[in-house]
Amino acid sequence: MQKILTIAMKEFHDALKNKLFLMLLIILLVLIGVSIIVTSFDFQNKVMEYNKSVQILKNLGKSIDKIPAPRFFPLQMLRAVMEYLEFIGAIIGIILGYLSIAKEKGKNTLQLLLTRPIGRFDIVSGKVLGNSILVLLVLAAAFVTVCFVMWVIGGVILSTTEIMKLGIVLLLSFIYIMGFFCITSILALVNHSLPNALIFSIIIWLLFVLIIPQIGDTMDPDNQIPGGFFKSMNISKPQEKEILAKFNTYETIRNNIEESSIMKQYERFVFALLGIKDEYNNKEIGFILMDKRGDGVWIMVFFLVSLGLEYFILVRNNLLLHRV
Amino acid sequence: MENDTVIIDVHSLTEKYKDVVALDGLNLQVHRGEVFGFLGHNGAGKTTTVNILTTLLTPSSGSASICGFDILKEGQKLRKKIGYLPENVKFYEDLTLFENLRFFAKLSGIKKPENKIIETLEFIDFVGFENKKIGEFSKGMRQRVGIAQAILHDPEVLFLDEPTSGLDPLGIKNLREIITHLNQEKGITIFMNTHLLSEVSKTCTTIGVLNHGHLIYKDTMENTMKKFKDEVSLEEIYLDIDLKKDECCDNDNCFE
Amino acid sequence: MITTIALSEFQTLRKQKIFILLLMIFLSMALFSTYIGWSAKNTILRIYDEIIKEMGTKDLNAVPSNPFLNTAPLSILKNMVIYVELIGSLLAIIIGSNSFIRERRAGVSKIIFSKPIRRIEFVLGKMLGIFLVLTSIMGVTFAISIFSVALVSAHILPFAEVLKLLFFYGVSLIYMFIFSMIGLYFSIVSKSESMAFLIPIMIWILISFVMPQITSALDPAALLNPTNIQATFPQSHFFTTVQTIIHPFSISENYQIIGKSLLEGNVNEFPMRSSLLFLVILIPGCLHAMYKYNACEEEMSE
Repeated sequence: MQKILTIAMKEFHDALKNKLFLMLLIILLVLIGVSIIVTSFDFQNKVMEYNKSVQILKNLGKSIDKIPAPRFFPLQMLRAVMEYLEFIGAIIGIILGYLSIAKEKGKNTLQLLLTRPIGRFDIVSGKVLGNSILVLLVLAAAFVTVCFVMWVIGGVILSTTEIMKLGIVLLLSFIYIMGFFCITSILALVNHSLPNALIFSIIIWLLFVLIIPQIGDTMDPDNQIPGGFFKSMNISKPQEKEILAKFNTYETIRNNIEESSIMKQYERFVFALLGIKDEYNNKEIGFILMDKRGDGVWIMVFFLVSLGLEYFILVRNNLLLHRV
Repeated sequence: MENDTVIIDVHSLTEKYKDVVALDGLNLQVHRGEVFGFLGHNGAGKTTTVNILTTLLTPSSGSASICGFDILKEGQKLRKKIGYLPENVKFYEDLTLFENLRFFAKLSGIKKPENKIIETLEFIDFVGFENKKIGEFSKGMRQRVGIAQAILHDPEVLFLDEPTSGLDPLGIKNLREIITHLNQEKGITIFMNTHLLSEVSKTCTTIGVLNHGHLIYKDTMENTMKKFKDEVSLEEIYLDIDLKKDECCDNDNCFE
Repeated sequence: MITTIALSEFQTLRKQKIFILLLMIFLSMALFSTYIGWSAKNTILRIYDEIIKEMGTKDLNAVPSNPFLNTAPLSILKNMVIYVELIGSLLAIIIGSNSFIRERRAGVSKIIFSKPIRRIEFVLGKMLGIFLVLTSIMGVTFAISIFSVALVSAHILPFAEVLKLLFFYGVSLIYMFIFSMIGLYFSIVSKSESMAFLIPIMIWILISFVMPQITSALDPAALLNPTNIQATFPQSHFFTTVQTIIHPFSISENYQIIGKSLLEGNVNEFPMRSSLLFLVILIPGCLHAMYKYNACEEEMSE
């Protein structure tokens, strides 16, 4: 255990000293910061307008029943934050995975490590543990900051249920990012050229995080017009479903394209938890977890398979020695 | 094949890297047709000297000219007159010998280099490998390719930086023969950095000894052998020179 | 001399597996993009007809007009803007980064710079080579677009539309060339091969995601959807000032605007200033970096 922790702590400190990782972290935090500030101000404005309307009605002696009750769902403010985690979080996972192996291979310290009285299983465990701690801390810091900004600017205090939902989102984000970490580590281990391994990882990211979801989004009929096509046609949700049922083949193809992207699985799950999709707004956690279990399973499979492969590849003697 | 023309003329050449003085006011003249052996301990400044003379590095101060062309002001013209074989020469591994040489020949200004490449390979006795990838070559073979690329454009001066480094005895012998042919048949002046004193004694016509950026000795091989007649080998002569370096009061030859 | 260097770019790239892979992805997406655009448009038209049928008994005047009836013929190619921004710019970064990395990795810089070639000639040769490669890629993509549009819509594009498309790919070429110059610059100055590639990627993230977020509050998913949905920026002096400063440099946003103008015809702006500004900075930057490059340094690490 001590050896694992030694390696883990080294991974942790090495990442914090790496300029590239720090730059990416700053980019992510700036993006999240700007986005949450903008949406918090927006939220604050909506609350203020509602309060103003209430006050006007009260001053006129009229009943406030005339104004529809506001539907403020603060977690919906986190849409852009989650999208940044989808894109930039994955890159962070890729960079950490790459650096974890590249620094050993590049300086030939992997051989030094492997000739110590430490099992290969422990080496992988140490690397995964160290980077896991780092990713968890980054995510926790991001979420705490987000909650703080929402409270200070938007005047939002989250309920216990909302905090629990955020906790699950944090866990899912961690699994998602670490999945990319493991994939890149694997590519860096098996590839003769480290830069090529990095480029392959970026290509995988490009395809599964950007391109495939973008294809799905573009094919979505509702996305053809800003604000939604069906809304512009004054079509309600039930009517929309009825109409789309007649285009089953098209929708199935589009849906299957989207589902081939792990990012989309992750997005659907977290959007459901955060109530960004109206149909899951204010729903119980249990209901959401049950309904989205398919997406959850895929995310876990993605992570566990890539983690398992990383262990398998590093532990196998001949594969490694051939490459180093 | 010596004549009195100074082909490499160095005056007060100095090179400083931060706090390290790699060359300290080096003065040196090499005559046309010489095979000049440049000796010195590791870190003496030999490679730095060659890097400056081949215009890869700008000196901190001082001047030098090769074939009458100033290294700072007429670099382009100067490089047409020189050939350079770096230590541990590298090539594009995925290209064949011919493709590598063709590329470098074109950079040297040879418009249709195919015939010239074949002629050069024949000169150094290295035909039959034109279509092999450089990645498959041994160290000795790469050195030959290195020489080939350096002489394609018929330079007047050839700079060789540790050309025998990593070669086996046969490789060293082959290289010695090539250098001798280049000097005697083509009249190329050779400036050679080396540690291998046995080769210096067989190949060079003049030697210079550099110590911590100072030239502490320079003379012809003939004179050197006469001067140090009590020493059995060039190695002993070199060690003797090195031991007495502190007696030198300036950069010029102090072993008259 | 310049042409020798330029031509060698072609020869080396065709042996690079990564480049070939990404090029295949890009060209496939160019082909696929037409189908996606056509299929989405077709489906929407059929959905609209379905909506009309559903409202058959009601007042037809209440139904909004078909928003896709008079769309520009090139609008089915609107996804190309995104694919150039994503795949095209990454491809350009790889081409640019690889350009001088090859010499550094092979350790041939000493030999090259001891030859009678000026540094400026060498860099210009590299730039010309990169430009020619990108032009070839854009040329092929243009041909694919013309062919695929003719295939799905069963008619050849009118000459005016072909010209617009040509202009679009010309602008795309400039956009990609900017990223290749960023790649080239870092291939000269970076100490390691990975950094030579990673730093341009970071810059690409900054340009493609961070700048639009700051200048237009665009969510990342909205950036990737040709039908951008703009959030409301708070009206404050700080945000307005930041927007004003950064917006002219936001080349990805400006490129999207130009793409919309040419392919969808619903905007009439051509903000080329930021792209030209980038080139004015990058090209001399690369020349300067090469002039300062120390060929005597150790070869690049991985």
